[in-house]
Amino acid sequence: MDRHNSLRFLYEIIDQEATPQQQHDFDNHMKTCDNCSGIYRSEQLLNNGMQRKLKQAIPLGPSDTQLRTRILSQLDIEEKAEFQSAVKTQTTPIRRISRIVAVAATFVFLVGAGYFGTELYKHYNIYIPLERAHWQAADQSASFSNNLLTVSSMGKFAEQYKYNISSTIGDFQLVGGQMQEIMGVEMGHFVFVKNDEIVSVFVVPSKDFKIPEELIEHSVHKNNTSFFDHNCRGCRLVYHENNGLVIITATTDKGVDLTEFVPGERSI
Amino acid sequence: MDALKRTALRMARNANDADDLVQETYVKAYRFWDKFEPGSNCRAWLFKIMTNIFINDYRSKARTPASVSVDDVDDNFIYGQLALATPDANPESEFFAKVFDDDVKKAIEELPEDFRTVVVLSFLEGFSYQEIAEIANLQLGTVKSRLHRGRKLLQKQLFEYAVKNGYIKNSGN
Repeated sequence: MDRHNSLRFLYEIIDQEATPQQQHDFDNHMKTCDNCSGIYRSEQLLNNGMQRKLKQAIPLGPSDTQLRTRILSQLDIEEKAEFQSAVKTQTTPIRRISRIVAVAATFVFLVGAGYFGTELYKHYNIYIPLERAHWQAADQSASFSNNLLTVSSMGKFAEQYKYNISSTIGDFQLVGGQMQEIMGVEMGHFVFVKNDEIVSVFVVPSKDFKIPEELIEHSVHKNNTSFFDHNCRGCRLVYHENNGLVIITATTDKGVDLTEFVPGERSI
Repeated sequence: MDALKRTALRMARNANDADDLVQETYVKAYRFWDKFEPGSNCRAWLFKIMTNIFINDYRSKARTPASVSVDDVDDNFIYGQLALATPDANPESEFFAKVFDDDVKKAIEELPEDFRTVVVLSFLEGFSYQEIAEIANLQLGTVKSRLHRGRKLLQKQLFEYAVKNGYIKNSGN
């Protein structure tokens, strides 16, 4: 290695980045070249001196406690932000599902409410007036027992509709009857009593009153007659038709079989 | 952190920016920790992050020193000058005994940024050429070249400070 080459690798030697071959050649050259050896020594001292001075020129230590605190605070913020982001990411699908469930629940609720509302409305309009009339008759059976009204009502049906109301049905005795307007339709309301059991019988022309369609699917056929049974709120209503008349029997007494309770027959 | 702060000070040249640079480095390292390959050089990785932040965000802010001609610095400039300027048997030691720490700091700060980054990473932190190349995204040859020329500039500036402040006589003039 000549002078030019040895000085070319001078800093690699000083920085200990030279290859073993370069180091070997350099060392050999230094043994024989005072000038290069002087330059090498000078550069090495300058290098060490600058490094030393440079490090001394930058005092570090206690003043950086503040910076450490700052960094740790910032990392805390980052960590929290990351955590919140993760939570957000994790909860997003849950929120989405929750939203879907909420929408579905609302839909089901609305449909359900609509259905029950309709049912309630239907029930209120179709069944409750008959049930209420029965309860009133049961509560006021004494005042309901007006012989003149009863005979008049029985006569109206016998004359106008050729339907004779029986005064007894099994052990039940007819105790009263009158014409009543129920659901906007005039109908005969007769009350039969057996001990403390009470049965109301409503008789109305078929042209003025239709048996609820929903009951038709669940009819009970007995003694050549189709009975349509409705039972709710403890009051049972059983419908059947007889030659252009609709007969509705009503009771709250569970022991009474209303399908056996046929108060008469229309003669045509 | 001390090492990062030390280098940040030399890069950014003011304490506030240096602190911000170090803080951003740690925050970025935290964010991208999953990118760090376990077993690789964590220290070099942190310096790489800091150097990138400096280059991207701080370089324009940092005061650009007056352009310095590097080409006119003789390779053996300081050797010859010191030999002539001081009668001591060990002129380099004498030289550094007279030069203040702040002079070195000032000389480093006066280096053009490209040289300064490489010199600081090498002198201050002792990174290898290869590590510096990776940290600063440079070719290995560029690192060697910048380090060589940075050293020469540093020597020249220190010598000029020494002469200007009367530590040594400029025998050349």
